Amino acid sequence: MLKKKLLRDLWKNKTQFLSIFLMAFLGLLIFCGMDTESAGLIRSFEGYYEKQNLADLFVYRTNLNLTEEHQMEAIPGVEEVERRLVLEGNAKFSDDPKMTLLFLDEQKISASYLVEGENFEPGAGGIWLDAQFAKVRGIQPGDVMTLEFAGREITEQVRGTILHPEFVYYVEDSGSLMPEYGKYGFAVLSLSACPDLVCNQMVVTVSDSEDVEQVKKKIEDSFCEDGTVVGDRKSNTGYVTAQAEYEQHRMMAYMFPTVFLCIAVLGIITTMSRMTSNQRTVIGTLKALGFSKRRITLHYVSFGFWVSLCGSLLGAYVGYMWLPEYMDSMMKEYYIIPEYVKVMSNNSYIAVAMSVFVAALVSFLSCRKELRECPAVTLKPKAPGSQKSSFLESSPLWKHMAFSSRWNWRDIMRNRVRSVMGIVGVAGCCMLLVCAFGCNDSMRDMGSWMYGELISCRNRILFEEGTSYGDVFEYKKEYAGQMIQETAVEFLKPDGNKKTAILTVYDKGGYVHYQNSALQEVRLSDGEIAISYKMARILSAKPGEIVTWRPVGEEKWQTFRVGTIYRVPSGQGIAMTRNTYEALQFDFAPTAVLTNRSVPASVTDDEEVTGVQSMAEMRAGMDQNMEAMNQLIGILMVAAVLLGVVVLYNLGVLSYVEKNKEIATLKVLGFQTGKVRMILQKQNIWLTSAGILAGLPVGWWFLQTICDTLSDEQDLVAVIKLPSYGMAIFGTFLVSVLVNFILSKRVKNIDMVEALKAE
Amino acid sequence: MSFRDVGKQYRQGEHVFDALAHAQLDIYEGEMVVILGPSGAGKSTLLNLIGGMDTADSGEILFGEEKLSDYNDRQLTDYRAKYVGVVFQFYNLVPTLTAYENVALMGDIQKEIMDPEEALAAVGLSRQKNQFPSQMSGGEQQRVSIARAIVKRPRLLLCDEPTGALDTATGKEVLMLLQKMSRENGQTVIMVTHNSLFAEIADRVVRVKNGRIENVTVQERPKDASEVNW
Repeated sequence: MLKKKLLRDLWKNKTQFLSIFLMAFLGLLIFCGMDTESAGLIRSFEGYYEKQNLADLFVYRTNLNLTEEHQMEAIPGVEEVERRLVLEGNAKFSDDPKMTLLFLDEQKISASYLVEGENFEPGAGGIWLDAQFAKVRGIQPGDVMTLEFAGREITEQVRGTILHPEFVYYVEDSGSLMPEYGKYGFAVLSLSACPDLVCNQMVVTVSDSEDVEQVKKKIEDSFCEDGTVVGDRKSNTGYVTAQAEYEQHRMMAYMFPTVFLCIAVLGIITTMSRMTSNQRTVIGTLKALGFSKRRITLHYVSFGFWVSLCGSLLGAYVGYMWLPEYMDSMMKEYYIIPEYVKVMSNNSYIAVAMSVFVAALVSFLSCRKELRECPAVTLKPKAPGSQKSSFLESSPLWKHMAFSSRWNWRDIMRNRVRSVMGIVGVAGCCMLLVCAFGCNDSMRDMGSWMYGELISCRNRILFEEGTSYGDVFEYKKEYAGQMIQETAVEFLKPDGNKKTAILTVYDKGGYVHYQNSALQEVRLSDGEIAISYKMARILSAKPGEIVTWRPVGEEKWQTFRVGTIYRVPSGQGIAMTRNTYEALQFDFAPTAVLTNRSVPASVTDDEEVTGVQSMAEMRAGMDQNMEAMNQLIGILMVAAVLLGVVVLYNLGVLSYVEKNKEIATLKVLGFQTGKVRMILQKQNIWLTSAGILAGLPVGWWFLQTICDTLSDEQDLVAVIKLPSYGMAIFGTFLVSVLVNFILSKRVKNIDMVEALKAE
Repeated sequence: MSFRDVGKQYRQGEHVFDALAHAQLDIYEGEMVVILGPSGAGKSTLLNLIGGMDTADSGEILFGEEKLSDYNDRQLTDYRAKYVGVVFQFYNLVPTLTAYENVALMGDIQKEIMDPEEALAAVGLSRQKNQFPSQMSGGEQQRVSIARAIVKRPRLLLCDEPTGALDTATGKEVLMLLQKMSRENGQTVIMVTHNSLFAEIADRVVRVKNGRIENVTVQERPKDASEVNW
């Protein structure tokens, strides 16, 4: 019979229990969805890497011959070695898209994944083309295309379209923020296509993945000649970006549900406390009739237990079924792997168990008070608790407060848990809105930050590697530009490992800008080396500490003391003026010219020019990629409104039930319905304001945390513009006032006689 | 049941007062006992101690050979479940259960209970069995409360002001029903009331005043409940 009572009580308090159900549902939906998705991402990526046998180490140097390959194979811990030639070239189209060309003898290591056509055949002719590039350009296996590289041209049939484990997240260059398919690509060819050229890379797998660092050191020791650089998987942009991505998803899997589950807990506290307090006589009766404490406790605990169990299980199921598909559809825009799988990790089961346990525990704690006393005491009505005067009541301000304010203040103080829950709910709603608008601002700002503030020119002319200073200087003169050099640099980390990054050296001119941590413009003086914020973090280098570095290919290590730290969204590393660079005895070898003048398309026909980038186009390209971000913002906003509506409606109903008699009294005394509604709306506005004040900084912190979990290669500055704060505040108020407006209609329908008769 | 020098104190703020002091009482099986006294005299305390709903601070309470005053919480719960049926002044039905379900509820704690329909028939409520408390009159609710109390065939039927919330006619019906339980079923019925007229129907009358049992009288020929008027 107690089961029947349980069901009927649940139905009687359906609004409150529905909100607890919804919060548990949403919490677990997001947690299990995100957790399944991030676990799935790990499985998808790791599975892909394993299947394609992604290289553990990459050795770069010009002229790597067969002897050195054998020498490499002899190093203990090395499993397999392959030599290859990697060149930058372009496909022969009107816009000369840049192509990364991999010439292979065999592909046991870092093997490409065939999408369409024939498998790669060592020694045979033909091109195996980047599937994304082929799709955008409408190229199919069987078509013929021409590639230009190292001053030569080859025309071959496309024999297959492929994906490649080293190109899962493929951006044009270190300065690019997002992939733009079709604009550039990669292709795999047989090494026999250019027998006269010598390999410049070796890819290596190690027998035990635990030993990668050790093997890397051994290789560095054995190949200590000039210009040898050894990189591990972390030097691959796709690898690190994807890793950071699933870390970020995992973090969100914990952050968002915490908000919902906190609300669910508060909901259980208010609902169960109120219910057990209202059912005090029933509890006393059950005790008097001979029901054991355990039995009664289990009965009341089962409210929280069943509601959260149903909500959690359904949430976990829907989250598992729907969210990974949705998230992966966004991921597929950026990360190119053959398939995305779903994996339900143990964390999901643990989360359901935790949620149910916490709900049951909170139910128990909420009703423990009523169950502790002996039946004779429980059967008596509860003695009214002594109410202490709050600080406000003893202050001189109290006398000047209107009746409605005093009434509301006392009501808030008397129902602290309910009020706190209201504030937390509103804060959650406001926080999610701030976060949603902040994500939008930060991402939109990134384009104009990178291609407006930090690089303020209109065009960038990029040059072939090895172009002489004199040649670049001619372009500088012609386009009144500024020369910059962007080259690879390696750092010696405190643990002895090396980290490769970007060195930017800039000549005189006004197109390159640096901003410090506070985003204020700083000018680098001669003799000063600045380090990017993320790079300093990777190297754990604090201001005043020494950083050891050298340009890739140089033997001698250089040092500098960390002074200026600058922020840049993409292309982490160090920067200095040309004078500083030359003072260190290096030759300034510019790789690009920045200019505000228009650059005719014909310039790309020049042999030494690899491409011309329009900053406006780069920015526009980024905006196009904002679609996925817009979807995320949409989810956040829906979650915000749902959270606000559910919590406020639930509390509103609770509050009206509890205040029924007081409202009826006010009406009997002659207060107009409108006036009573205004009094109630006043309390709502107070609580909403408090919630917003709490929600704004938390939203800001939340956004910063999201930005902080981006990959080491990217630095996103959390930005929330004033109008966004305004919209978040307005949105929260709108939700709150509308919910209260709907609820306060109840005032009109209160039956004064019945309400006053009730016990 | 015997009370030997039983005392119970309550604390109100800093003030401690005797709700019951030095109580001596014997109750015999099958008797109809009326505990009489003004408001605050200690009669409900006495009833609570008899029903194992509260514990004594001093003295001994014996239930047959068992020393009830030494029982712990768990033993007291068992005692209530097995031997005691309670009828409250305000009925105390579970509002979300029907009349039948309120009675059948006792099946959750006692295996051998009578058929709930039979219990409802005994109080004349067969037709209203599917109604919720809010759909019934006060008298009907009190009868459900009695049916709930008798369904487990308790040895003690405790009634705390059972007519307190009822009109005279309905109250009389309830009194008749309780007397019937005692006379026909041999159940010990203990009724607390402040109405001295009810003393006329009791086998034994216990008068309580200021937390003390003033006197206990035994009536050879108690009146029929139908003859009592108030």
